[in-house]
Amino acid sequence: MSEFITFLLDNQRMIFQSLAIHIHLVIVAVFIGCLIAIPIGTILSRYQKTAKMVLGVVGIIQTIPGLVMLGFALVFFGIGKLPAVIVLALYAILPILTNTYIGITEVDKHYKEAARGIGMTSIQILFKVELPLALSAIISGIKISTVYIISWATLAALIGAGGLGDLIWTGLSTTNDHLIIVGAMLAAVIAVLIGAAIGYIQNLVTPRGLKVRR
Amino acid sequence: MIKFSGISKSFGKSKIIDNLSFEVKEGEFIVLIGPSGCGKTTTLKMINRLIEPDNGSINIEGVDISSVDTVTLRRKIGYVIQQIGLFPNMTVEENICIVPKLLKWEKEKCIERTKELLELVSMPYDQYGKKYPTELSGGQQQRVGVLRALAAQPPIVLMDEPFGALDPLTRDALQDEVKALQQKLNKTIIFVTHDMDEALKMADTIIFMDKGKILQMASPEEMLRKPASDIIREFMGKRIAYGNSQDLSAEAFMNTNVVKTTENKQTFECLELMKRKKVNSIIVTNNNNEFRGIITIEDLKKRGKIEGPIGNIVNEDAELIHKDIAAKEAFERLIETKRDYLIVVDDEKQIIGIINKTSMVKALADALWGDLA
Ligand SMILES: Nc1ncnc2c1ncn2[C@@H]1O[C@H](COP(=O)(O)OP(=O)(O)OP(=O)(O)O)[C@@H](O)[C@H]1O
Ligand SMILES: [Mg+2]
Repeated sequence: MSEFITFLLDNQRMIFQSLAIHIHLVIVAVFIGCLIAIPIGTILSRYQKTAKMVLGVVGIIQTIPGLVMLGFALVFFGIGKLPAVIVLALYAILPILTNTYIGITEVDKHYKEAARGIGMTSIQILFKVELPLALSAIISGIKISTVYIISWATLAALIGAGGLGDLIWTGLSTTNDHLIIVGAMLAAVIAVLIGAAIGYIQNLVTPRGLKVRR
Repeated sequence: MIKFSGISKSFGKSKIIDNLSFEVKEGEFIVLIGPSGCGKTTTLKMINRLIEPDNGSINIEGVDISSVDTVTLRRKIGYVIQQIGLFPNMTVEENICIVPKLLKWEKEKCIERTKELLELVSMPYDQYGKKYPTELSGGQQQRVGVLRALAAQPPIVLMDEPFGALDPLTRDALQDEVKALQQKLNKTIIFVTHDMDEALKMADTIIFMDKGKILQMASPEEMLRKPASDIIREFMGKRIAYGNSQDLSAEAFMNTNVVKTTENKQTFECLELMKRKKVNSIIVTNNNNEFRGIITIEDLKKRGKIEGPIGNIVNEDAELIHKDIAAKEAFERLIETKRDYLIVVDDEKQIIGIINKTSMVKALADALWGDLA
């Protein structure tokens, strides 16, 4: 045990750096994922037939193993952070997209009709009624994405993006157990912490009126 | 104020609204009633263009609404729907102020309006303004729903079964409040319900619909007195009897079991008949069943055993009434003339019955307990 602690102390700079890079990768990827998924999910909620198709296709892409995707990215964009972020963002899209779509389409049609009946334009209905009522579902999607991407991002080290994966892969190739343990544990810990943080934010932005469910 | 001209609407192959025409006056409280699926909601939603008719036109204050921008139109028409209508992500104040805000009212004016409106239904702003709909009772939510519809002072308010989900006491209170508000603010209200009590209580005019058509458009009073069809009668249930007996004709309450005989009969035959039927007077007719007179047991006794037809001794002094005169009038005549009965005749002067005290009892029972007869 004391051996492990000395190891940590000796390598703390490297460990913190990997951690920072990892978090950075995740945040950028999820952020890009949101930028793509939320507007598309919103638009899809207006075209329900197209939506089924699009969600199907995105679902299929999602099932392609991460390693294969990283391989493609390597071929097209070379090594480094860019291809890693692109692949991770792609994986971040699906949960946010489906949750945005479902969140909006499942807003009770009576609310939408009341909104139309009192003279809101469709843009006003979207921003004042549908999105606020779907917000909680959308944030849930972001939470699921983030937790996923934190573990997927360990693969990114394979194409030279760095992060906690670096520790793990280096540990595996040099049979350094300490490195593997630190990398894996940190990934697990930030997944739990960030997940909790997002849950907290979700609670914070949900109006009181939506918390007490009838 | 609102005029429907030849409005029709089909969903798929089925015609839901069939050539509907009617007019609503300013300040009138109209209640649309009828069996489920008869097209009440559809009719209502055509007024704020949530549904567009296939044929015909709707005019509001002389302007064809199909030429008005839907958003502009809707902001001038209040809209209250059943149960969930308040937005759960907004406070009471925000809900009430939606339309004023859409109309770009200033913030102070919005707040003032909210206070003023909440005051009307005894829900102080300080206590309720910042609450969310889920924090209110059903009745309070529905009050706020009504206030929201009134907020931007629209001249017309549409209400689709607004109190359907409330308990009877709360519903009763809200009906009173809404009726009072309507009279105070002079709104034109179109109100959908399938509760006849609610319709009778609230309406200036009731429109009874069935299968996309108007069966009757009348004041509550008139609908009670003269329901235009069996469906309406059924909807009215027992209430109908009240007005009805006042307006029914003598024919409705006459006794058709009349003991009569022809003028060529002999004294003895008449006595026999009286004995058999247990009556002390008989109506005498000619061979065409037209009134000749009446003959009583006293008349027969006085005459003794004299031979000859009774036609010679009949008493022509009797009250004849036409079958179509109001029952009420017939009863008054019966009482005034102090006779045992009035003779009811039809257009051909044929005797078809009598009105006596039993008829009055029957009418009275009908009025009190419904259609016993
Ligand atoms: N959008 C629609 N598409 C197809 N059919 C419809 C649509 N809206 C209404 N209908 C049909 O039109 C008929 C009339 O509906 P409407 O809602 O006007 O009835 P209603 O009189 O309000 O009935 P209720 O008392 O049950 O509310 C019903 O048979 C209904 O099924
Ligand atoms: Mg309806």
